[in-house]
Amino acid sequence: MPAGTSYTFKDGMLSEKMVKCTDAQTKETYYRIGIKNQFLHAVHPIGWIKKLEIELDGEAVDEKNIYFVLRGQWFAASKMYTISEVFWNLSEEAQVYFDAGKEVSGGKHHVKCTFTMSMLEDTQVLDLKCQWPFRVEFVDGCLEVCEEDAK
Amino acid sequence: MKSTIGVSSWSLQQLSFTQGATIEDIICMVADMGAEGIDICEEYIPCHPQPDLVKLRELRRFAESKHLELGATWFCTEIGNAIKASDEAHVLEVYKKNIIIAAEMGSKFICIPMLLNTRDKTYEQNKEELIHYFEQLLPFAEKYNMPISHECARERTPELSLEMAKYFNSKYYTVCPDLEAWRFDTPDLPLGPHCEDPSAGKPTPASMDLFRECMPYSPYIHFKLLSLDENGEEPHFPIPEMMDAINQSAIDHYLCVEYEGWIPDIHPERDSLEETKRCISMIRRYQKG
Repeated sequence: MPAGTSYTFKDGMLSEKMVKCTDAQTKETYYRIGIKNQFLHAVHPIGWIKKLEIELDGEAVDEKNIYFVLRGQWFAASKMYTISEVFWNLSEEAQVYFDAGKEVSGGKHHVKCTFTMSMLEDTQVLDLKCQWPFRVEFVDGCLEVCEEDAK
Repeated sequence: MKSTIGVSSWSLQQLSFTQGATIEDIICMVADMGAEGIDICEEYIPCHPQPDLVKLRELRRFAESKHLELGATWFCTEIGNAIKASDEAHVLEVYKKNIIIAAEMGSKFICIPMLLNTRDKTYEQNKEELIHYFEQLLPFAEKYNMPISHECARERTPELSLEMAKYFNSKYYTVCPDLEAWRFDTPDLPLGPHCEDPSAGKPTPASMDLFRECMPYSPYIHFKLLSLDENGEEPHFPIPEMMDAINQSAIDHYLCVEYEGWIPDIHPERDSLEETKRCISMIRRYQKG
C-alpha cells in the first residue's frame, strides 16, 4: 500500500475531448469521455467502484443515464458494484457514456467524474456488505465537444 | 553473506501512466540499470480474471532473456481483510492459485501484504487467524517450492510476522521487512495514516533491534525508498544501520527496490527512472565488498 493518502495519479487520466455519438443499434445519443485506470493499485474488478458520478458544467447527470464501458461492454453505473469478474487493467482506457438530458453546445465544457471506491483494496473479493469505509476521488477538466468520426 | 538488488515494477509504474510503458518496457529499463532482478506486481501479471498461461510464460521468458532473476511476484489480497469480506476457505483458494502463478513466473518468492485489523481484533486474535491460515497454506507452498514472503510495512506487523516465522520455522514462511515500518518522522514527510486507512493515527517506527532480529528469517526485503537528497542519501530511513545489519547477516538477502517517490503525495514531478537508478547506486555504496 502506498505511503500517502491519495490514491489517484490524475495527470493524463481524463480524455481531452467529449465526443457526441449515436449507438448504431438503438440510435440513442450519448456523450462519451475516456478515463484511464490510473489508480495507484491499478487493477480491480469493476465492482470495486461503488458509485460513479458525472457532473457537466456543475450539474449532476442522472445516474440512470450513466454507463461505464470497458472493451465494448456496457455496465450501468448503478450496478457496477456487482461486477466481480470483469477487470479494469492498469492504464487501460474505459469510456463513460452519459446522456446529459439536453443538447450540449459546442466548445469547452467542465466535466467532473467522481469515483466512490471501497477501501478494501482486493482483486478477488468485493466488499458487498460495505464493511469498509469509502474513498472518494475525482478527475475533472475542460473538455472540447466534438462529433464522432464518421469512420 | 551477500545481497543482490532487484527492482519492483512499482518503482516505475509512473511511466506506465505518463508514457504508456508496458511491463516489457519496464523489464528492459531494469535490465539496463544493472539490477540483478525484477519483481512484478499484480497490476502487470496476466492473471485476471483467470491466468493466461501463454502471456505468463512469455513474460517469464522475456525477463530471463534480459538475464534478470524473477524476485517476487506480488499480490494485493491481504489475508485478514479478505477473510473478513469472504471466508478462510475462499482466501486459501485465492493464494493456492497465486502460488501456482508465482511458480509459473519462475519467482523466488510470492509476496503477500499484511495489515492488522486492530479495530475488530486484538493482536493475539490477528495472530491466531493468520497462523490458522498459514498452517493450511504452507504445505501447498512447499509442494510448489514457493516460499511466502509476508510483507510488513505497517505498525506491529514486523513483530507479528517474526513471531510466526519462529513458530513455523519453515523456509516457506519468511518475513519481508518493508522499510516503511522503520521510517522516521521528518518535516518533509511527516508520519501519518496510510492510504488504506486515512483515519488511523500516526504510527510509531519499528526499532533497529527488531530489524536485526528479523534478518535470519528475511531472505527477501522490501527497500521502500521515498525521496533521496542531493547527496544521494535517503534521510527518511536508518539506511546505514539497516545495510550494516544486512551485510553482517548470516544469510543471503534479495533487496527489492520499491521507489515510491512518484506518488501524488510525494514527488510526482520527479522521473522515477532516474530516481530508481539513484536508489540502486545508494544501496551499492553500502553493500559489503
